[in-house]
Amino acid sequence: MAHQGEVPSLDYWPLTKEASKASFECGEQQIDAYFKKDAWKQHDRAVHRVTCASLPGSDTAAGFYSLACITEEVRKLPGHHYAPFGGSQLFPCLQLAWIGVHRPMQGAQIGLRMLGKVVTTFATIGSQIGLPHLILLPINDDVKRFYKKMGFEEYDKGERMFLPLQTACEVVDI
Amino acid sequence: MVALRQGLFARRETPSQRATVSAFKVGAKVHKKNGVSANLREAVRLYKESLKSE
Repeated sequence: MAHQGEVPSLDYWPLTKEASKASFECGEQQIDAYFKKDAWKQHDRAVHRVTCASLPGSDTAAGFYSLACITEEVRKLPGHHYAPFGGSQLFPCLQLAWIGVHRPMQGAQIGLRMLGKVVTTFATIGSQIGLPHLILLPINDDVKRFYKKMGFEEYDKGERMFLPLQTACEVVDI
Repeated sequence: MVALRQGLFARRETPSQRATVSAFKVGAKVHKKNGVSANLREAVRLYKESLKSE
């Protein structure tokens, strides 16, 4: 049964080993498998930082997202004019690796709020340490359309998408 | 953190200032072209609103 109506507020907390063992199903096989098998492992090794969202007072994740600091090749971006002579083509960026909402909690804009938090985090950190883009790899065309409506731009032949720091800073008002 | 993950002999795998500057320039062009979408504004508004109600 889907959750009805808006959720007044959400608590955000880092994934715990206990929470990673709880049942989580968003309906996308890849995301469910990640949460079940890899989320805690990656979080514990600091490869990804996994943040859970829950209803106030609950210790069960209503949704989660994971972020990673990675490097990306500038030659994949559309319209870049950088032609290195054997130098590095890599720049740092923030990757939204996974995001999902537990099926019974879907329909309450939890995913949208988590995305708002991700963009706010990116604008805050990116403007302080110099991260040009928030990137992601859409898992299917529906997801791609969703992020396109959010203002993400396709690159790498449509395999990946990015949101510029300038856009995040304007929307967050930094 | 990114640099620390690289091996001592993997200099080509570390980010460069020129590539980072170029990525920022691409971002500026895309931002100028697309601006901020209403959907993204709504996502951030919902997040900020949920903080105020706590």
